[in-house]
Amino acid sequence: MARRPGYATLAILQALANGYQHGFDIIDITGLPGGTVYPALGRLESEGRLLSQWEDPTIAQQEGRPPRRYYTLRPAGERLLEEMLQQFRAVEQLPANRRVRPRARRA
Amino acid sequence: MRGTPILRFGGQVIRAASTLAPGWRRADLRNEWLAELEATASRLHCRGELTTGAQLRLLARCCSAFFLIVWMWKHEWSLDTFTHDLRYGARMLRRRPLFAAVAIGTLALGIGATTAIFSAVHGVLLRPLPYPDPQRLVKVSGIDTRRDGIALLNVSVPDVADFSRLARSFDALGAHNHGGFFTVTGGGEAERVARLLVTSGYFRALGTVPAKGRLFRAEDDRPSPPDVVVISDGFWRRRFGADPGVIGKTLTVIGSSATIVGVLPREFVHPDPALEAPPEIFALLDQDENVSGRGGRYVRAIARLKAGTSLEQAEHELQAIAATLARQYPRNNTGRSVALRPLSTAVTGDIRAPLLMLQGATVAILLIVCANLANLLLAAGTGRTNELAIRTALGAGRTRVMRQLLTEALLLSLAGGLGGAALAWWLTLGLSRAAVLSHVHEGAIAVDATVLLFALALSVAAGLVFGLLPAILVARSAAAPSLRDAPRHTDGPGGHRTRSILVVLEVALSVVLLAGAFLLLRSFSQLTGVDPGFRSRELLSLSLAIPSARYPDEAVPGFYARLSERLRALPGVESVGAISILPFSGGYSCDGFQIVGRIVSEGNQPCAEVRTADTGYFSTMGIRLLAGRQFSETDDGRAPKVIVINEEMARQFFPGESPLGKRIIYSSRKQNDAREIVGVVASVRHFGLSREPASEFYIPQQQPPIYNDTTIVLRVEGDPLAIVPRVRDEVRALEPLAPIYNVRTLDQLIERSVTDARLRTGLLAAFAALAVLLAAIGTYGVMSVAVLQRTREMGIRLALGAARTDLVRMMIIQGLRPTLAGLAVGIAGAVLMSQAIAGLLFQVSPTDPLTFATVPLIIAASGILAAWLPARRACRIDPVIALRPE
Repeated sequence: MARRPGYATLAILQALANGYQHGFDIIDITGLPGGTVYPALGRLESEGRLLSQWEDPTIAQQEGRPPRRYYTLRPAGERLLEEMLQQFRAVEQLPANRRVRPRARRA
Repeated sequence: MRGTPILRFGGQVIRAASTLAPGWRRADLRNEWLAELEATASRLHCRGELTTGAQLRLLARCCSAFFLIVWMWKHEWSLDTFTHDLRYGARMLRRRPLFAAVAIGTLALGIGATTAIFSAVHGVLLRPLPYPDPQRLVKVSGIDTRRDGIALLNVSVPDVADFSRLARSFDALGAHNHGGFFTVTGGGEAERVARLLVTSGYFRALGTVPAKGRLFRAEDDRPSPPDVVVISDGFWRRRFGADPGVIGKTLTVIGSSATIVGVLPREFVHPDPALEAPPEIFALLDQDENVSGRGGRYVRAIARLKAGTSLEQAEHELQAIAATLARQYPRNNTGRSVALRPLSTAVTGDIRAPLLMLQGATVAILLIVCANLANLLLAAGTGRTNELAIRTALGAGRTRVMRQLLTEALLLSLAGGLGGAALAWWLTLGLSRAAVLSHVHEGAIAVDATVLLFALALSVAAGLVFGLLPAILVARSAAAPSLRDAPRHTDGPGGHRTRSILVVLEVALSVVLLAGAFLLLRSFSQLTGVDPGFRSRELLSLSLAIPSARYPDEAVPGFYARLSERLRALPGVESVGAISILPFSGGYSCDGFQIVGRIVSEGNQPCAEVRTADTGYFSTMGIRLLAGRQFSETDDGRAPKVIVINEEMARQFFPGESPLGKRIIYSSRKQNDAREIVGVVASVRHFGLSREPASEFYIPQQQPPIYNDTTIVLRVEGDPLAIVPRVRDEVRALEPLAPIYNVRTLDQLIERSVTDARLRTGLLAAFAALAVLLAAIGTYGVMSVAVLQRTREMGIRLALGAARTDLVRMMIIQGLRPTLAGLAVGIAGAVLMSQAIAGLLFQVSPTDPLTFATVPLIIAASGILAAWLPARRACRIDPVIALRPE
């Protein structure tokens, strides 16, 4: 049931950590399609890893545009990002062995 | 910037997509995406990068909203959301433990009762008969077209042979008849075994394949058939130790030896569970017309339809053949025809109607429970309007709130279902014990996977039934944006009217149930008040059989005379008698006879039940002598042959004249000569209290035909069963090899004959009591809420000087409205119901005035009580408190 978070999740979390807070901005910065980013945001929110809030309407009004929704990481999201980054770094550090043919990781 | 094509087209795409989203997410989705689109487009515009290509890419991104919607719906119905709802629901229920307990408890009662009865319906009515292609099996019954043409009768052996020979609609057609019990000795304990006489078509029709050897062949169906038998698997294992070489061995059956030609498979069952014991020896019916003539209608016939032949076609063909036979044999077959019905219906005939009635009753109870819970949930929903309004304000849509409420209802119903399954399991234990008595195959009634599945489905259905209405109404009222303060005393969702309608439904159902229970109770009391024709108290009966090898016919009467002598001498024994077939034992022996000097019109050969009795039987049983004399010691084999007839036979065959001195010829295989009627005794209800006595005549035990098995009756002082050990000792002292069986008091026998009626009456009465109680609780609940809403009004009225008693009366009268409406609807329903159960009633009219007068009184009384309690409470209130501003 609980899917292992993959690259898309990592990218989205990192984008959020880097201060990109709006859905379309995340799509632009990660290069992921909208059909991937938004469901991932929804899932992360329902898992309690991030928080979505609406911008203060007065600010938006002053700038003459509708209020935007923005997403921020919650502590659980930050932890997940850290864990995933560690895993990816660990992959990078795997020792090389020339004599054994590299095999596909079991799914 | 505004009016750029991307904002126009992209906005349209987003708006279109958002309409497909789940209601509560719709606005968020639309607003977020429109804002994002505008922000991104204006950023690109500022940088001068809003080229056509960029616009197209943005449009494509807008289209990806549809992917998000697919995900939303998947998430909406995902297990996570469901478990969240469940957890929330469980929390809500924990907060109201009393409500939860009442809801789960009543649901468990409703579901448990329904499931338990279903396990019987499933085990007895729905389970297919254990034969290949059971839907092609039919029972062939005789009907008398000159009488009602409805009563299903047995048929004669020659008729069956002709049907079997001439009809083209059947793969096979066979007859069977109870062949009595006999005793097997040697190779272990003496044992009493039931024999079934069949034609070869019997096994062919059932599609039986022998486990060993062969079954009967078509050429075996002839006068003086070969002495071959087929034995059951159980008999083969018990008596022959599962000897593989059993085929060809001989078995001594009632004085003659027979060769075993086949062994039946283990799973074989005779399709007539009404027999006292399942038959284990199968022998051939004699086709000799002198033994079993066309007038002797005592066999039952079954047949297997050809594939593709309908029951109606087959019946049509058989009726045509029957018409031909009636022309050919006018003496015996005038007015005789046949009727077909599915064997499954025939097997479950007696138990079908009561079972369906009980199932209907339990469903009615479950509906009442559901109506009550719907009411409770509506009332509870009123109290939760604030909570739900907050949820709505926080973005939960109407469907979302509805789902939450439905989940809570399902949680309740599943918990109730769990309790119900446990209750059903317990009830089923009792039911199956009772059912074994009422001729249902043992083990047929049990809680198995199907029954559990039924309970689960029932729980879900119940949850939907009682949860849906409140969920819709409450969610609707919650969705109306109303965070106004404290709507405590408003009408609440659904309003008083909805709740009153639910009460009308409950009361109507309980009226139907109560009327049904009343009718059954009345008829049961009529039934048990019937005089069986003998005094059953302090009467003991036991059957025994003496080995025919050691007792030739002429020695049998002497043995029984000596035994009676010894039993009479026992302390506590007042008198002793013997009879071939005891009343209420289930046995029967109907045979044709002729009255000397009377010309019988064609097709009117009389027939009566034949019994063999000894000199002490009538006085021991307390059967009154109406005319002439009883048997005496001198009515032995050398004396002139005599018979005693019963009152019914005298009435039917000798109306307006004295039967004494008249002579009849009773043809049996062993004897065929005239016997003089010397006495008339009172009729006995041989086949049960509800069955009218049949014509019956008695032959003295010392005159042929002689049987070596008999049933002894003893009138004793005190507990009849206490004397059994001493009786056994006496029998053993005289003949150690005689098995004693069927040791019962006559009271037990009569009780057994009314067990079915007692069980269904008791169950329906219990269900009806439950229904009335639940309906009263429902009325009480609605009244309580209504009263609460009117507390202030009561305060004003009291303050203005209204008398409390007047107020209570007013409240009761208003509170009684739904009860009275339910009563009216219920009476109409009860009239319909009583017609449906008319077949189960005995000496009580379906429109019994007493029932239809009492039931409304009880319902009205319970309604008044349920309305009075809250009304009294409301009017006790201090007007000052009631009028205090909130």
